[in-house]
Amino acid sequence: MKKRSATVAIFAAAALVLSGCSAAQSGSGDHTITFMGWGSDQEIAVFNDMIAQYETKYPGVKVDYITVPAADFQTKLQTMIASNKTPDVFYLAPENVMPFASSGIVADLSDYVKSNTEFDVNNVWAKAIDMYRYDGTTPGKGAVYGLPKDIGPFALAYNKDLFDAAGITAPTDDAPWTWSQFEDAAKKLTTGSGDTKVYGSAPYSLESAVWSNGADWLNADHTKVTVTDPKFVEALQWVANLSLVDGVVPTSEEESSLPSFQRFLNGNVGMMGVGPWNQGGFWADAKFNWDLMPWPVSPATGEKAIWYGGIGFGVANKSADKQDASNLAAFLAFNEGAQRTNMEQGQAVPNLIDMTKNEYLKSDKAPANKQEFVNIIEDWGRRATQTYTYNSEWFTLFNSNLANVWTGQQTAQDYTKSVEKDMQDLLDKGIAEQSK
Amino acid sequence: MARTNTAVRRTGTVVSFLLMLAGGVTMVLPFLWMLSTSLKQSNLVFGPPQWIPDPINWANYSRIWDAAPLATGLANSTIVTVLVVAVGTFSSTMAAFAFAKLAFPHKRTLFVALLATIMIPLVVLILPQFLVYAQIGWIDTLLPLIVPGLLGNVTMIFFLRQYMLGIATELMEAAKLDGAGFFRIYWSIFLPLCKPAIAANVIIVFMATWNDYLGPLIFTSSPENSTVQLVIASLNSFHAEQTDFPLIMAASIIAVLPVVILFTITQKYFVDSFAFTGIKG
Amino acid sequence: MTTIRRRQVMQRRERLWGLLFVTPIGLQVLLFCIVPVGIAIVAGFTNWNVIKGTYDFIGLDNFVEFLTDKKFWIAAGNTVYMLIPIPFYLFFGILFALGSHRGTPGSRIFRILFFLPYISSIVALVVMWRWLFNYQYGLVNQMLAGIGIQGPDWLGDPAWIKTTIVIMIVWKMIGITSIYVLAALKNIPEVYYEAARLDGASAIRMFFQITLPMLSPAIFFLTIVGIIGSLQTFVEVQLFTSDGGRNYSAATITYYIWQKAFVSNDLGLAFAAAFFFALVILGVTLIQFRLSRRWVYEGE
Repeated sequence: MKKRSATVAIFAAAALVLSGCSAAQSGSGDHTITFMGWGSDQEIAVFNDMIAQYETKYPGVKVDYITVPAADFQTKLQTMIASNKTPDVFYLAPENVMPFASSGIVADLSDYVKSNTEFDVNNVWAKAIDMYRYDGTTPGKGAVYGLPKDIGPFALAYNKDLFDAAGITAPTDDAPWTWSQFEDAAKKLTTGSGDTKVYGSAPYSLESAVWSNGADWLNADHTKVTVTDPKFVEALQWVANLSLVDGVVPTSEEESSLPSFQRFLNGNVGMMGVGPWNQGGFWADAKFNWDLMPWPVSPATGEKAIWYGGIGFGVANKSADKQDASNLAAFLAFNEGAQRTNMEQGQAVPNLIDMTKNEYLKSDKAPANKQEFVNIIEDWGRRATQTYTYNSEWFTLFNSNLANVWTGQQTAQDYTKSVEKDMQDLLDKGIAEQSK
Repeated sequence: MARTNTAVRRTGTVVSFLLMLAGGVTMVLPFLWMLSTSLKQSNLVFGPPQWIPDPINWANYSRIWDAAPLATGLANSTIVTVLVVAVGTFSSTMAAFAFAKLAFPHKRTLFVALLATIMIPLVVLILPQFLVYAQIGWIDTLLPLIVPGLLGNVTMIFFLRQYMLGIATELMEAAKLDGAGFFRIYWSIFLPLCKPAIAANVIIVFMATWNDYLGPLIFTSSPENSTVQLVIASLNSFHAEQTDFPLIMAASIIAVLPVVILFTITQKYFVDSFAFTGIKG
Repeated sequence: MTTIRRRQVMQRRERLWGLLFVTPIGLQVLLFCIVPVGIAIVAGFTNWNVIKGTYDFIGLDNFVEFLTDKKFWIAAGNTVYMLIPIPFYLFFGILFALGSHRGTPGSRIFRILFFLPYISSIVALVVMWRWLFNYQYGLVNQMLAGIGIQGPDWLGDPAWIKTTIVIMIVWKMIGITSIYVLAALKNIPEVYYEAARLDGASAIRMFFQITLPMLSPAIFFLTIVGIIGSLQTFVEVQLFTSDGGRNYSAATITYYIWQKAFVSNDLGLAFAAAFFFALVILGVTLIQFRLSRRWVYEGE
């Protein structure tokens, strides 16, 4: 008798489990497509809203929205690809475009971009779409494998209240600070000690420093690692010294105790690099005035430099509902209502050029100097170097031990020397894979 | 002479008590700190240590259900654990009984093979298991966490076999003479006699299943199929940036509570059944 | 005649029931153990990559690749480092078991307290540990600061991360170790001690002459299980660090294999390394059994 009930329990449980997963496929509508991404609580709420709009516009299609923590996303996505459960639509990092395109994981959306009812490609930032182009040899050209979720210009934000209290005026875009002016301001802003210490700046963007100093991780055709270039070493050491010598940036240990992002929100950091995706959080939690300013320039070139990033929507090549999936990607990327929601929630600069100019720049929410974001997109922002290579493991390697420099355990010179060869090996491996 | 002996003994007891007290405090202090943190407001934890939160803030325990799919995680963990413990215990006791008391072909070989599986590193098994599950569409379902467990647990079989070996065989011979079938002998004679040992092993399997992280990490991906451990781990990596420690601590306490309660209730079985089994390598 | 016949029937039934009873676990071993191991052995000789979709026989290339990989050897060193907790938790576990065995007041309560870390999930412990050992705001460093010591960056500094993990494992394992030892203590016949007392043996002598030898099988068992477990340390590394720690300072072999399989998608290489690793563990275990003859008391 008891044995029988145990057997019944097994079947009941199995049925429960099986029905639990098949329900997602059948659903109440005609069919369901899955969409996987990550994001802050706000971003997830915004996407739920946008997905609801999509479902209203395309009746009969249900979207199963899966979110995983950003740190686990890449592993989870690869796991799902390996187990033939690739989501129909998923976040596609620019670094993944080349490998995913050449192994046929993401669908070629070029035809869709040419003729569709969702958007006009001329009204979209070209750089935003170019991040997902690949012609088999060169990234940034040829077929389109993803539509931009957003284009993320990384700008330098500052706490206006702290600036006013220290008697500092932020520079304007046509007259950016030099590195030494930046250091002077940061020193003036740094006050107090212990738990209430105010730091002049969050850890400085290494990309900005390196590029502005006229160096880069790789050479122009992305085949050779150039981190031992004296100009690179100089920029890296300068960034490290802001904390090691000047003490105007939290140390690496302090950063791991409480990230600068949180310190900035608490009003304890003067300047910090931010993206448009941070706006919503600041509107909600920042109890001070803040604005954007141009990145300081190195004396070597006098040129401003910073990256713009972004995440795209890729459509699975094996998707059973490619049309619906493409529609979802395009809807999330370009639909006017969806874009407006995204903008109003402080998640992004709109992908649509007219909406940016007519609505975003005219809104009265912080930052006042929104033009700075647009300048980076239109003018002097660059794609991150690692998005130009087939396999970015060389860049991961460079970063994984970089704290040796931040903590002063190694000088920039020693560190770059110690990793150069391994980086080159990994880069070569990627180049070999690409040409296979 | 006798007096000094008592004195020595008393001093020994005091020293031993103090040592155990020190140890006990070391063991429990981190948990108290976790509890204390979970009752603080998120922005008030970055300062000098404060053991009694002021004000005591229960909000984290209500906030957590919206911040993470904790309810789903708890439900999934419950389904997996209950099934594995209930059915798995049944399979394990059967196998243990057979290995201890029945004569059947290849018994020794099978038993040694069973023990050998313990030596295989988990990572060697889990990778190909993943590929097999991927082929049959089990990835991102709870099946990989449930089905193998239903078939039994090698450690449990090993311990219960040792325990049953200690039960007199005459009992079985007598039952056979009475015409009892083997299933009845197992079910109505051996199972009741093994209750304390089974109880101890049930707790261990319960703990191992409830606390399992590697399996869910590799075999499931979407939040609706997450177990409670995975939910906590996601919270941990998601909130690494925001460092909302009170929230994570509250979630961890909720995740740990079922096992602590179960163990506290049943802990008296532990030492007794281990003692009976005896560890002879 | 009938009795013999009856016995034969009984024997056949016994065989049948015996086989039936071990069928579930047999199936488990076959499906979830032998088949996977078979796949692992074959796949170790291929360049299996699920993203690229390659699956070709490449001989020993994988073995050459990981054996010449610097990271693999760093991971191997870290894996050996993870054996350090074993003597510590054995020592404290025995100490606690002895205290508990002599009936120190409060033993029952203490036993529950000592077990708390063991029964809590590793995920919860890591979460707790990250907060306790936070560089600036963690309880540990704040208490150290109270006595004038600047605590290290336990989780970020390559020189400390392994120590942090070791402390956590010792702390976690004392409880379960003491339960095993306590059970073994209860199995030591009281007559041994009575005889020794009649001979006028001191307490210390009795400990070394009776208690410790009688505990040796339990200690042996705990050492073997401990070594097999320690060599497979993974979850702590995966949860404490984002990529094995700076300079790969916390990564273990299992972590290396996991990274190859699920981060780089290099399944072939992962299988080869896993296969190699299994052989090493097997070897270590066999050596231990051989050595054990010298010090483990086997009984009469």
